[in-house]
Amino acid sequence: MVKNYNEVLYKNERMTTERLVLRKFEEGDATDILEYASDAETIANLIWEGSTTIEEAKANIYDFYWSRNGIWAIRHAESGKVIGCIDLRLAHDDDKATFGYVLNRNYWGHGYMTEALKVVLRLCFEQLKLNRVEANHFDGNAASGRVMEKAGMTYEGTARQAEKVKGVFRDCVKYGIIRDDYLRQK
Amino acid sequence: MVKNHNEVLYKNEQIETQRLILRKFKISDTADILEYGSDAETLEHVGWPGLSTLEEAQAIIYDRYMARNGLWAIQITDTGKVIGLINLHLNHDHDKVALGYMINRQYWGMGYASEALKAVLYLCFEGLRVNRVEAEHYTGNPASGRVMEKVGMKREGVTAKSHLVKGVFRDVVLYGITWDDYFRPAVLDL
Repeated sequence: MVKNYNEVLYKNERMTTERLVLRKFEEGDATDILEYASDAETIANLIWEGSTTIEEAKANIYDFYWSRNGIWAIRHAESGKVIGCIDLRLAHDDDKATFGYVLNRNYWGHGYMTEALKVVLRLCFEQLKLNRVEANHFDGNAASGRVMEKAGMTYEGTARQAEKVKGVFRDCVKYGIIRDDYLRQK
Repeated sequence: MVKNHNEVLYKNEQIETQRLILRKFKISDTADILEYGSDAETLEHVGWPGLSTLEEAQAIIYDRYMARNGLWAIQITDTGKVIGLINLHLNHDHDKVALGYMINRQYWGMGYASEALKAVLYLCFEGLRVNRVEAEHYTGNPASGRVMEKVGMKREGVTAKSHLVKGVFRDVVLYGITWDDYFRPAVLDL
């Protein structure tokens, strides 16, 4: 990992792709956040409990979205709507990162998440110079696995009943991509 | 997991098996710790960098081994020698335990690790009543995977280069056993 990783993250607070803008959350995003945060189906496969009021959605911005760098709102460029979030967590000891994401259910199946993940992976390997990026999804959310595969990640295993999510033990399906894979795929 | 998990751990500070005693470390264990803690081959498969003096061995007893519960010296009953350690990390959020162990290379291949692991799994499921126990080893150490399989754990995957260990990226092999695995009879007699 580069030593100036914070500088790299701050300089990439805004990233654009073909159809999306990844940027910092703004206070005006609360309505869009509430739309995905209050949809049971959207958050069913997340540890996150979601939000049910505009006040909670605002609190999310202050308490989580602005709490550190490496958290991007996913904005649909054409409509201007914020349709989700992707966040990166660095693990310095192992020169790697993990990430999490959520996408408004109305925008599933259009390749938006893959598009956002690809640009984040590019940042991880080309600028942060990480050795590995990894993530889990829970059983029953195969679509998330397909997103990771389309972005070039490899299925590595399933840790059975490894996490308790909203009172239910879920299998953690593990994906990873190492630097060598990324450079080979380019 | 039971609410009184600390009480359960304190009441099981000493566990006896057929050939072993799992117990708290003592200051008199420094020479035995130094023996495995300074052996390059023993250390090759663990994240711990090891140590090279009796003073360091004494310091690790005070700083690490006595600092918490759920960490046992593995002693051979007959000879009194301490040949390694086994430890637990409780994960309350997910009702599970991660465990780790290491054995002095001179005592590999004699079933000691399986014997100690079996006793600790018994404590995890029967005493602590956790939903899952997991452990990992680095590739290049299949003996450790065989130990885990012998006690009923299942191989769940391999994460490529996921730990940086003493300057080298190592592949990590994941094992787990769930409550259902542990209590499900091996053969269903229908």
